[in-house]
Amino acid sequence: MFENNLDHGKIDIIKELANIGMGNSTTALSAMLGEQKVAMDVPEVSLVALQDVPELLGGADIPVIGTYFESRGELRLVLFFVMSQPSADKVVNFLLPKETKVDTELYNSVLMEAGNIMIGAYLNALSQLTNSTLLSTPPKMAADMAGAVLGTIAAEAMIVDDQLILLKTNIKVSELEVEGSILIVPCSGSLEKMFSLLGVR
Amino acid sequence: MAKTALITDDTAFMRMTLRNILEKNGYKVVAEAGDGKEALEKYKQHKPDLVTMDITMPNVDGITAIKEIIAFDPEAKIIVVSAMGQKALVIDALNAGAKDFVVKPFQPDRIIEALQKLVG
Repeated sequence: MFENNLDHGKIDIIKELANIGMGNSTTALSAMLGEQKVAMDVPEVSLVALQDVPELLGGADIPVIGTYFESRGELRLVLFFVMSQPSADKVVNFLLPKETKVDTELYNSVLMEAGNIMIGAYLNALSQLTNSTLLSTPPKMAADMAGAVLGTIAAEAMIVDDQLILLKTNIKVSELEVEGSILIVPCSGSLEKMFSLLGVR
Repeated sequence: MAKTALITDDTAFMRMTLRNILEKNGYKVVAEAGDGKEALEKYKQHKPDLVTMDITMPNVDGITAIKEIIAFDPEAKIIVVSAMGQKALVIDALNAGAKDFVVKPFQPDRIIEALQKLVG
């Protein structure tokens, strides 16, 4: 498989693209949260088994809320933004005017829009870097235990590979006590296409 | 008389946010649409002075909806409000007939500036 042939140079390129893209995502989230400081870890690139991904989010039994998207332009990627339930509650409370009566549709739509803006910023940066057009599907959402959420996303995005290249970074909004993770899975063939767009052999 | 507006976005939160911004600035929101198909129907029904249009939406996307609204009314005044600010998409939207493109996240002033340029 191509993924097994990744050398350090190519991993560095993937990391740097993730760093710039996720940097744009956190900048967009910061703007959405009234310019609050959003810290971001250095993105990690790893080859993982699908069933091990929930462990990277703290464990399969941890309740999480995930918004997810697919890029279906020149590069096919699955992108998701995952938060714990308490973090999601804090984001929703912060973004809605105080007197707002929050029903499930509105609650979900706040999180989907936050994810949409973050993932849009990531794709905008990646589009610029690779001189390509990257379209995103409308956001979808899953709220459950991490294992079940990942299973839903994998099924809907038709991720069939046992081993995934996973780009992951953790973000933190200290003032709101919000923590989350951005995860990106390049689908089969997308890394080759990306290197080709970048002129990397 | 207040200028009328149609808000198109697939998330209720963004429709609420845009409605609050517009109403605080003297615009009258006559309808909301959750996708491009609904936007065309609501446009025909209300003939608003202004339309805000998201790009990535289920069923019918924003670029298609802009083309369909412009085909119905070549004078329609549409601004795109989208997280997808890629150059090719901005060009597509403007070629389709949009008058301006605001990238999310935005400051409320940016939305009002874009609308005022169109209708004063």
